[in-house]
Amino acid sequence: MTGTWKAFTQDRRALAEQAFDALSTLDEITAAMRARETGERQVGFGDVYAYVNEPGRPMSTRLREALEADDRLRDDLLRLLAKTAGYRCPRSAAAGTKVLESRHGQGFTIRLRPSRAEPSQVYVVIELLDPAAEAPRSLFIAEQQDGLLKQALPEARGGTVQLLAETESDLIRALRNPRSEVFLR
Amino acid sequence: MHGATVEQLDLVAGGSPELAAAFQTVSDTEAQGLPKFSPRICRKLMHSVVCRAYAQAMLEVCHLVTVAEACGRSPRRYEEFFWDSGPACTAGFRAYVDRELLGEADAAPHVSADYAKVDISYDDGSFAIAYSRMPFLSAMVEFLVTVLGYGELDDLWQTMLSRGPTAASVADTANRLSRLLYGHLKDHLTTAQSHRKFACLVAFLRDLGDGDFGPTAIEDPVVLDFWLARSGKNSSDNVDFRTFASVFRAFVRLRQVLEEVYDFRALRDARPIGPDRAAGEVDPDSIRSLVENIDETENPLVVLRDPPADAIKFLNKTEAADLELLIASGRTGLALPLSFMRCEVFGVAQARISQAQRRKVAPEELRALIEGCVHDDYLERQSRLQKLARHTDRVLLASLEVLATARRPEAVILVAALRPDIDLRPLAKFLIAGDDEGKIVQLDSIAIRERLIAAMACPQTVGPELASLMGEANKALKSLSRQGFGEEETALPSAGDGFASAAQPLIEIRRQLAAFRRKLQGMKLPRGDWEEQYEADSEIFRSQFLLLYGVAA
Repeated sequence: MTGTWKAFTQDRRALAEQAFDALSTLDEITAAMRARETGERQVGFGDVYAYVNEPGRPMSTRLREALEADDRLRDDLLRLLAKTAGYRCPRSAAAGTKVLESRHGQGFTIRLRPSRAEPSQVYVVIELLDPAAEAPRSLFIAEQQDGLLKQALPEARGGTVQLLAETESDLIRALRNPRSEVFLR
Repeated sequence: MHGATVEQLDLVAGGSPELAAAFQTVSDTEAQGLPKFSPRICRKLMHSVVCRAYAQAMLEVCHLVTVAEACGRSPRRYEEFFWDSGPACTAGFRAYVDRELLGEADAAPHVSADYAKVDISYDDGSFAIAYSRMPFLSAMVEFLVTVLGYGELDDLWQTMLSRGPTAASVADTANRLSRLLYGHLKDHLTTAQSHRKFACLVAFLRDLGDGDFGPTAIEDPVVLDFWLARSGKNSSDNVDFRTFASVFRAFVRLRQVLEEVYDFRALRDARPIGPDRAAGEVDPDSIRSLVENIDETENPLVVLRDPPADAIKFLNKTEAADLELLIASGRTGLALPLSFMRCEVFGVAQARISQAQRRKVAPEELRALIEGCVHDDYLERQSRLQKLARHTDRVLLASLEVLATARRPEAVILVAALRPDIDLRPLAKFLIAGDDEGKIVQLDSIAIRERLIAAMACPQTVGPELASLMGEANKALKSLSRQGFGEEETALPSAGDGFASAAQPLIEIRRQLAAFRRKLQGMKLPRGDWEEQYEADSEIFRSQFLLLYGVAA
């Protein structure tokens, strides 16, 4: 059974109008979503979560672009890192410090030791104060301007994780940067 | 919201491009390389947000966060629950809770669970959340984190969790969350334009009907007259009726709303929203309920895109696109058959013209495009519908073969749908059986089903009509070389699930196609036949396009 407009109560007219409004908006949003079906996925927090939590997962170009374009998404990533990292070393507060050869955080130390065999390389030695603690699997370094760097870590031995890197690599440069923040997870 | 992708979206009248992009993000979210949320869940989420009927969901989400936090022991407990538990499905959340919560004997004594739900006991009350509700709530969390940000949510939830949640503090957090979302939607979900659209359509119909009208007043001539009258007008009221497709869709929605609203029971039970009721505010849950009645909660195309049916290519992209408008219009499309055909033929042509205009092509090129803008005429469009109907029949037959071989009960439903007049008397002997003493005994339903379907797979025993149908089914399956129809794929034990879940949607698509084609064949056209009608309409649409796009001679 249906009625005519005149027979509708005020309530029903209001309901008709608001349901029409909702349906029209749904149609328009759906059409807009279809129009941009490019085969490329939209980046979301799920991508940030996977990047932070999967040691072997590199940063995709789409995620990098999204982080560059969206400050809030970048803040979300850093917050997730800060919340979930087992170890964290804040930016150096010491004024005038140019480069760092070691970083100290609660429960760990990172030292950079030049390789004797190959002068162009540096050992990154991560020492955990509690050798029985769960060893980190990823190293993240957040710099103010230059984004975020992630390094998968080898297995720890006796509470020490050690890896070799080129002296001129982004990893060493970022670790030496006193304005960078280090997370181990 | 991520700027680059937002720019790719066309402006959305009622919802902002940011809102559309947020829904797209939820729909694009993956877990373990698979879509995290089914299309049906995404649609439900859109209903909730667009109708602003999310208060209850916010409360459930906050209670679910307390459950999620109780799971596991890492410092990211609730995050793991929402982003590390795989595709959002009922069984997945049940397994996660079983493993992470119930596996830890003393982990969270205030949370318990049975097969269907999780119960939370607070000092001041209790709350239960069904596992079947969790995929939707998880999609709501994904949406919230997209539009509000993880930082904002984490602040809110950490405050709630750190104090030791109570029923009251969870409710308070849910209210805060509702207010945050309300604040976001204030800027991204505007209603003014849709309200003006509604007022415009209503005014037009009232003028036509001496001040009154019902849903049946919305007929084919009204749609065309309105478009001709409104599309060329400068829209000082910012209401866009430029395209015929937008006018058709608006009238379809108006007719659907008018048909449903009169008998809508939920309104009688809805609580008034204080003094605002008099000002025309309606309980958002009533709006959502009406919208869900009308909209496509059970749109067969949506079900086919959902797992487990999505593993089988029943329809390719073109076929699905060809059906989209017909299915979305539902039975209202049957009341506006000529408008539907105009939309499919001239509406599609207008979309091409609009696109060219956006590309800023030269006037002479635009003029030439308008002159030759139509690719399919009415008869060609009908022939595509006929092809689609044949394809649907073939896919249904192939499904019958798979389901009968797998002894699935949906095979019987397909027989009834494909051959409603078939003589089923030969099957009667499979409904009863003699016992050891030769007495007739009644079989239980599972045994009957097994015997029936076994008989169907053995056509010689069931009479010529059913035998012939099963023969056709076998041939149809062999003729389809699409994903999911191969011999090895259909032999998999899981294959039956996909075919079974697609049976009803495919039957519905077939029904709607048949009803619409019957309507087209039987209708009296203003110009006699479809060829004449096409010629006459071509003149009308071309003239209007030339006028609209500024290239009239």
